[in-house]
Amino acid sequence: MIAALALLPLFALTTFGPDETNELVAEVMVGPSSFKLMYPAPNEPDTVFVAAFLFDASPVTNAAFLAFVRANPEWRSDRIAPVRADEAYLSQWLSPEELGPPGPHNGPDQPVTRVSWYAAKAYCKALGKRLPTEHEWELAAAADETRVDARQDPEFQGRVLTWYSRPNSAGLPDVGNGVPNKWGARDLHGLVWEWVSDFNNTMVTGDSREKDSPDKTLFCGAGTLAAADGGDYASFMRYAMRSSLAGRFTTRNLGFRCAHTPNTTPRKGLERR
Amino acid sequence: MTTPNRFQLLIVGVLCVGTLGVQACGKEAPPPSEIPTAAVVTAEPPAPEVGEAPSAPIEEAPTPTTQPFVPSTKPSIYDLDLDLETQADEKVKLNLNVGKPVVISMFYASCPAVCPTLIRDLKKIDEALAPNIRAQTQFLLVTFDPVADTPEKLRKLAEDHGITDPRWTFARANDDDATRELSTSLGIRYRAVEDGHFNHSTMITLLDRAGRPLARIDGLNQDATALLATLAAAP
Repeated sequence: MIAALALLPLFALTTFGPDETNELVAEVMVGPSSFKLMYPAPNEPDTVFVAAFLFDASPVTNAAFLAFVRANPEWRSDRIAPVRADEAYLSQWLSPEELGPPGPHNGPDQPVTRVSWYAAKAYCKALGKRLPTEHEWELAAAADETRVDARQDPEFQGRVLTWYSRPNSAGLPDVGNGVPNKWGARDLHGLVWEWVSDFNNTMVTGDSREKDSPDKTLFCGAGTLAAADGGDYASFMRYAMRSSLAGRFTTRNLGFRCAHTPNTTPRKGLERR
Repeated sequence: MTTPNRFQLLIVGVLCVGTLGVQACGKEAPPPSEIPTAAVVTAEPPAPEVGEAPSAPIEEAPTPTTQPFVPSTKPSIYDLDLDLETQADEKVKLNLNVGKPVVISMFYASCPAVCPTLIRDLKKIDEALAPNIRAQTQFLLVTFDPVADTPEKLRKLAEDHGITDPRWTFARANDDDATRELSTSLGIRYRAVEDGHFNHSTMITLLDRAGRPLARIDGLNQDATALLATLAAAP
């Protein structure tokens, strides 16, 4: 792991977790970069500038999230306010403060899933970080191993879509096994979907509510062509997925990672109250 | 808004993916608890876009309810425990009106077209209430723009709309983060766009005395009969 980290182009190390986990979580610098949006909103330019940000190199693990819950008991599954998470929150764990015997989704090094947007946000905040914005996440995820923006490449798109199409009823791999992309970030594709801070920024038009619209067939065919780049169906899937979420939703293939702005210093670890 | 722009087409595409299936999306239906890849479910009912043409003006008085009251099973948004600052320069909590029914929505003060219409819709709801219910019902409007919409600006907005009734509160949250927590809990979508404006969905939500959503209206100029009936029947 350490040897692999040394290969990253830019990284920072943060001690993480109070006692049981002392693993080193790498952050990588992403950006600054201009970024062409696949789905610009009305009144929004096609290309945005994304300032440089520090980004967790891999998604947050069960072990790391457990450390957060132990330090912040209001986020235990038996205490969390219902407005902040649905009933399935952390239900893959044995108990509110135990992962239990390793299963398909509760291994210490597997990405934590069944976390709501509120919980993911609180976790990042406890570390002096935040969730990445949608623009930030998409910029980081547009890169492949050698290029900052590989979205035009059918081979790259195909790899991402292959993952999207694969039912992940089997267990999740551990984090950090993916190949680092151009920015040094891993597992952006192929492990779990990830929360972003502004997941619900997308308007849904009144027109789209008319389920019996005679133009439906036409629009269906035009759906992917409506993107700025008609071929990037993988991006389309992510924007569509996000627009389907509510903040308290938890599912077994939705996790997260944190980001922060370079001039802010993340906290060294979680402190018990 | 007669010609669909490409963003509309995107969203229509999203809804259609679930209808038609897409080859790239896999052949097995995911378990219910998993994010569907093929079938993208609309979790929150979609809300009309800014500037949508009026479709169902509120003209008729609400019909008296004959249906039994159905309590809300939704979580209380008051558990978010957010701090607000009002047009009267008061620091309050999101649950400032706990114990009373609340009609809540979000807006921003410099909004050119939508927000005046929203306030007009809310006034119509208020005016349609029977006196005993009206005396209790509170109105809470929280801005998308906690930086620009200072208490002074909110106060001016209230004055511009002739609103002096203490049952009406215009407020801002502490920051963008808290603002999005509130909008998320209400199912209101928004994003900042250029020149200090916001694209946002418009939704009016009726909260029960404990802050649980009881009824809501998506969009502007919609029929408020059901919401009014629910409010009239609420204990």
